[in-house]
Amino acid sequence: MPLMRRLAELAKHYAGGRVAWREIAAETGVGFGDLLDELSKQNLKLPRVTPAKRPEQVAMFNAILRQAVRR
Amino acid sequence: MTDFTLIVTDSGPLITLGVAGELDALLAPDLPVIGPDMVHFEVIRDLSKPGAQEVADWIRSHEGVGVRVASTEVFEEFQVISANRSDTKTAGRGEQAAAEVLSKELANENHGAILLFEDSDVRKQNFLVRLPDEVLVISTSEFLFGLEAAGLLPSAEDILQKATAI
Repeated sequence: MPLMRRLAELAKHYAGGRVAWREIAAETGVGFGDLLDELSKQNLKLPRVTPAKRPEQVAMFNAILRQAVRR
Repeated sequence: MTDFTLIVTDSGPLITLGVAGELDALLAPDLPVIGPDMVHFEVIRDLSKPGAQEVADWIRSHEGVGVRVASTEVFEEFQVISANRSDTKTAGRGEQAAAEVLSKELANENHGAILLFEDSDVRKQNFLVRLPDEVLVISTSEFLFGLEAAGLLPSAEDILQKATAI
């Protein structure tokens, strides 16, 4: 399958959370900008993932941001 | 008191923010920003790609002032191998370089790190299971929405939309 056709297919799976960027990079060798370009062409959105955290890690991130606000 | 560093582990967050014209968001938490040399290479190896020139310009204008490209053995090895084999792939090496940078940062006393990942990759990183308490793993979208919630950014949604409106 030609590269751009395959990328078009993978972009749909990526936006749907079914394939990760690193898998696309390994298979196709394209850059992340190429993937963004493909998402744009198909009017697809970036996937959004929030990794699990312990409460103290959430508190740590919030404390870092609060400190940045104060500076 | 722990000193934190923001380590950008992959080209994804950089290119996303570069295309959106919002790379300064990385500076909003007021932490030193480190990009491994391997990740830097992945981004700038073809400046005609979307976002690449913006990232290259931004790093050049901020390097030494809150932003650092960190040298790694992973990249040195890649350069040696790719000198003999031009088809050497970079895939996976950015993650390895980020792990190397993290290890060096944590070797300093009272140091912690925020590891910034591209969203879809944040679930797939092999070295995450071994991370100590003072290391925080965060996706690009989570990072941006966190900045917005803290009042450090007007709209995370706008940035993510701009990244896919090339």
